[in-house]
Amino acid sequence: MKPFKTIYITVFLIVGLFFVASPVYGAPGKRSADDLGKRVYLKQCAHCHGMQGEGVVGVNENPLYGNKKLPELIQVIVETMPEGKPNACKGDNAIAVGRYIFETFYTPEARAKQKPPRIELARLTNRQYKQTVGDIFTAFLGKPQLNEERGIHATYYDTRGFGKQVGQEVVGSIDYDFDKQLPHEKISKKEEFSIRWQGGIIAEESGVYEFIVKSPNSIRLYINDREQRLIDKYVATKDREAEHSASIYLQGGLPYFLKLETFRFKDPTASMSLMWVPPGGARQIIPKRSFYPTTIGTSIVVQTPFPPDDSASGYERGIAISAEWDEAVTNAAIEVAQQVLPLMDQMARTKSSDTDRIQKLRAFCLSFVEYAFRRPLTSQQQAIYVDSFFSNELNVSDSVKRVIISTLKSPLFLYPELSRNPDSPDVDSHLIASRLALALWDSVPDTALRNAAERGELLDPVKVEQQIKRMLNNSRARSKLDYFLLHWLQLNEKGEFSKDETHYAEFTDDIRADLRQSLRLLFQNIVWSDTSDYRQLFQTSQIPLNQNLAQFYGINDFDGPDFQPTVVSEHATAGVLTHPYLLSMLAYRDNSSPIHRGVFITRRLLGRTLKEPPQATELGSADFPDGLTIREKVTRLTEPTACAGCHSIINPLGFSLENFDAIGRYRNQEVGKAINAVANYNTVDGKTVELSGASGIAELIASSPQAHGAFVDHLFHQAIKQPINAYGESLREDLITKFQSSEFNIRQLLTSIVREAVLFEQKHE
Amino acid sequence: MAIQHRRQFIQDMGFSAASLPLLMGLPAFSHATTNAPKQRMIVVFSPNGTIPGDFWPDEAGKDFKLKRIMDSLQPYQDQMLILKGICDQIKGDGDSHMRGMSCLLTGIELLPGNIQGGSHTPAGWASGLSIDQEIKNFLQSKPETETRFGSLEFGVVVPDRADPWTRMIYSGSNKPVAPIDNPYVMFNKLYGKLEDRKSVESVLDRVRNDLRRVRTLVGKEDRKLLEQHEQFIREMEARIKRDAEHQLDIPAPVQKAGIKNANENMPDLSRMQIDMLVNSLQNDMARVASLQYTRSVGQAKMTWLGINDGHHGLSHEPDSDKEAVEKLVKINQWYCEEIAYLAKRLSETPEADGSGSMLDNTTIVWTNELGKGNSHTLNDIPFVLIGGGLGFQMGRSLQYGRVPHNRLLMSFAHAFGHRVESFGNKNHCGDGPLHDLT
Repeated sequence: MKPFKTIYITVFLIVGLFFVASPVYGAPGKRSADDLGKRVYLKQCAHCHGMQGEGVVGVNENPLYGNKKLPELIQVIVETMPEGKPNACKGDNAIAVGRYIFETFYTPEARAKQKPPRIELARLTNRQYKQTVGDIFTAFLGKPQLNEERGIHATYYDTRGFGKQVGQEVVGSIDYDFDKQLPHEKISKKEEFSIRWQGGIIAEESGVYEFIVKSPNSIRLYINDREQRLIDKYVATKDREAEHSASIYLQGGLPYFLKLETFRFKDPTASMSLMWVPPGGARQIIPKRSFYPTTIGTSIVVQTPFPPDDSASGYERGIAISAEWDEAVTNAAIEVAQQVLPLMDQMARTKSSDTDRIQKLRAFCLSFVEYAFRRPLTSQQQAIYVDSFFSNELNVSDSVKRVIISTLKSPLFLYPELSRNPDSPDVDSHLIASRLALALWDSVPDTALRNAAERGELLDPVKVEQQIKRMLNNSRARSKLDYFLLHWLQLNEKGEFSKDETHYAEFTDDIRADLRQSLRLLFQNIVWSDTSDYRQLFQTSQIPLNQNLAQFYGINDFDGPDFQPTVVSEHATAGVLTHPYLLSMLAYRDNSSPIHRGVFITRRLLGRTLKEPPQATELGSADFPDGLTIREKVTRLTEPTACAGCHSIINPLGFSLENFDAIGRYRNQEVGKAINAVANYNTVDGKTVELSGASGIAELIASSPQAHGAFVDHLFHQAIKQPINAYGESLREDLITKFQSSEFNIRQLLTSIVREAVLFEQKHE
Repeated sequence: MAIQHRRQFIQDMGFSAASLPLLMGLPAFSHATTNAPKQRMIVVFSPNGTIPGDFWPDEAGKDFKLKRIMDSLQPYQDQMLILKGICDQIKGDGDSHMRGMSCLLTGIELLPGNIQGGSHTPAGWASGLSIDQEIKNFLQSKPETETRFGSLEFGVVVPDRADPWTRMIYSGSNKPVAPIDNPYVMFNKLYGKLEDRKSVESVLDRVRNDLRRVRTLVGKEDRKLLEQHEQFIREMEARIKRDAEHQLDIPAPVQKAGIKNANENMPDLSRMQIDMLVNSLQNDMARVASLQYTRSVGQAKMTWLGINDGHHGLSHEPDSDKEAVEKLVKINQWYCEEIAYLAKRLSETPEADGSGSMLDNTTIVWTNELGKGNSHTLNDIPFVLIGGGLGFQMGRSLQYGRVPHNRLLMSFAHAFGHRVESFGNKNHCGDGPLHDLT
């Protein structure tokens, strides 16, 4: 476990405005409230602040951007500008120039309008690459749609060699001390038996899974690959503490083949535990909900690591490439070819003795390229991408290998927007199908979508909407929304935290991992409920808990091992906001952190912008008298006017969650003083609202149009991976209005986003 | 960090090159040749003991007559050294086959374990490294003898199981090394990266054409991204061309395609592995190698010789069963013919530096886990050496009176200039390396 990173209190400062009276001529801003404001700005301000408020090198390099309200901005202008001549700009001039500055570049919204973003050419993101490759071959290899059954199938043998079967059953998890108790009553001898567990393992999230087998006995573990063992310790170590681990990348939302074999023969001791560390999780015995009792076939899963995608805009995008990326693409193509070759006959439905084997493999290759390019090939394309590799000089497995490598290196695969019909490159149904699959699944079209594209019906918004509704029912859409949650609430970014051991020893990695799971389930339960109501995310008191968590939070009458909606406390009524995982993630090791919580809510949930703090101050290093609450400390620390601008927004939001400590448990006092969770918050439209406790912010988030806009932005960006403002000036507002009038239905919002985005056509200059 | 485990694991399993492509940054395939001739050793294993009366020459000294099992080695008689009386004296856990196998090259006891054969105590892996790995480590530690792999472990129809009957090579205590018995996997390990490079090179043209073709679909700003992509492709092409200058000295052997890794294909598989073994040594990928036929207790059914019984089953028949003995002689003759083929390939291949044939600089050590199948004795373990790699005085038949095999293992190391003071269990290293070999 990494040590908790030092956390800095962020103190936000308002940048002053400096005016110099000096005429400047040049290009004006594109839009202005009126000509007066623009004239005044160009004459008196631009010399120091730049034409677009960007600052002037050597004079004043701070851009004239900020988050004051318009009246405040005008007041600052009157009182301080131009520099050295306060009150020289007042009255109508001050109002006009203030409005010009405010509307032209001062706010992020104004700047965004200045330079409307465009839809950029993008390659597949890393997630899209891996999902796509996995799904293409799953189309040939097959994979069961999961049903509700969970657990793993166990078969017991009375001999060490898996000879005489004495029983079988489905079990929940694999964690046994065979010295204390044999796993099955029919096993007759304590000193000799063998067991095989077989079925599926469900990867909920895409990422690297570490499997750990702890046993002094013989072990063979297979994951995904039915031939090659992930762990092979056939010869026992006899050491009770011996652990063997190996890692593998798995794609989220899918089950994979799992087989574990062990036997005991005269070993002095015998036990078996199968654990894992899932992505973002903690080491734990693999729970029943992750096992699937049906045997699954091998899948193709790309293991090659890729350099991270560009996330500068707050979501992963494929707009940048590098030599490392190109090399990863090459290595991944070779790796995929190596994984495919042993399975190619199975995928091509042929065998080595078939006389028409080569034709079948060639047909398989054609089909593969069509999946990868997301459209049928023209005969000319077929000649290039398939036929040319099936010459007499190459043996057939080299032909298949080269088809795979050439396809996976081709820009038609890597840049989905570039895969067009060469004879008529306009947007067609196949391109819409490709966009749909990327938006909802980060993958390629399935058969139904391909068929719809083939019928040419996807230029029709009604048909598109029908497809979206169908596609939302697929596990890949669940996986994508799960991915959305992880990024929206920054669970991946901020996921590695731990708590002070003297105060919170009981907050183990296990608890943290279970809480993370609980938060994901909370989100999933709401998103996939009938109403799919965004407001519920902030207004439910039902939090999914398991036995472990129930015990942790002192709930005594909890029954059953699986997660079930439970009221943690009568005070935790604000859903995600009062979820212990989020509250602990946004806290210090030993106390709450009103600033972390406040900044998170301001930016992520309310959609307000904050400047980066001009200076960083560590709370712990500040000198406070004894006996102050954290609220009192934060108040003192952020009192200077330089900080107060942003902190008048941040602090009240954080303070209203003060009833929840560093691990998200309810408290009513700190250092012997009663908690004060009441605070006055200034809304974006200049009103003051009294927030009282968590329900106050929850109400704010549920009702604020700006918060709705923030949610629309996040969902749009995670789904489409392009800036929302590139899709026309009115789309964002339209989506917000529709969202509001649909009773805040998240799935409906996603449907609208995807429908509008996939049918939008950008004009090139 | 988590990825590391899997990678490490895969390497332990001997599948490294096959599973994890790494196109670029290959180490050079051949080192600058130095003046000293290359010195090599190949351990060849065949299982289940021999038929002593048809194997050991009656005479000791330079004047000896090969018995019928070794008929096929006659052309190399003056390059042979036959060592009778070498005994595996390692005791402890494990049955004779297990100790015979896992102590054969390690000379040290097995760790306690859960694998049991017959009525002996169960055992685990050997508790020390094997002599070939000791020599490999020594050669790899010096730049003038360092090679790409150091050692290569070939197998022929080795069952897909990891236990002390199946492993004779150890990189350390408790660390068995799996022989690669699938020639296609071995091919990939030896030449796979080259093949991958060829495959990639063959598609880069197309990729560049594609990139040019799609350029018209995008605006000016996006075109930059495609131009950048094309630049990367050009750079990769240049790197491949540069790397291609480090070609193999000798091109990779052309393999028969689609040979299933199964008992009935043993003759084909054996020749494929031998050809690759010779080629890999010729390209100086390693100086130490091993070739393991099946495993101890191996049940090869040599149907191509008209024998439908499993080898191990036959080896338990009493000496009075003339029919079984006849079959066992044939089986051992077949193994010997494969070794003769290896010797022939080496003798016909000249060294690149003009220092004679490869056989002049290579010693084949043909051995077995038992002296005799039906007695399970670890005395008189077959050790037949062919070729001049170790600098021993060849063309002799030597007969010792029960010498622990640790001393022979030490002699191998000393022959490479690696003067170990003991090897394996010290108690069996008595007077050091055998002094009458050189």
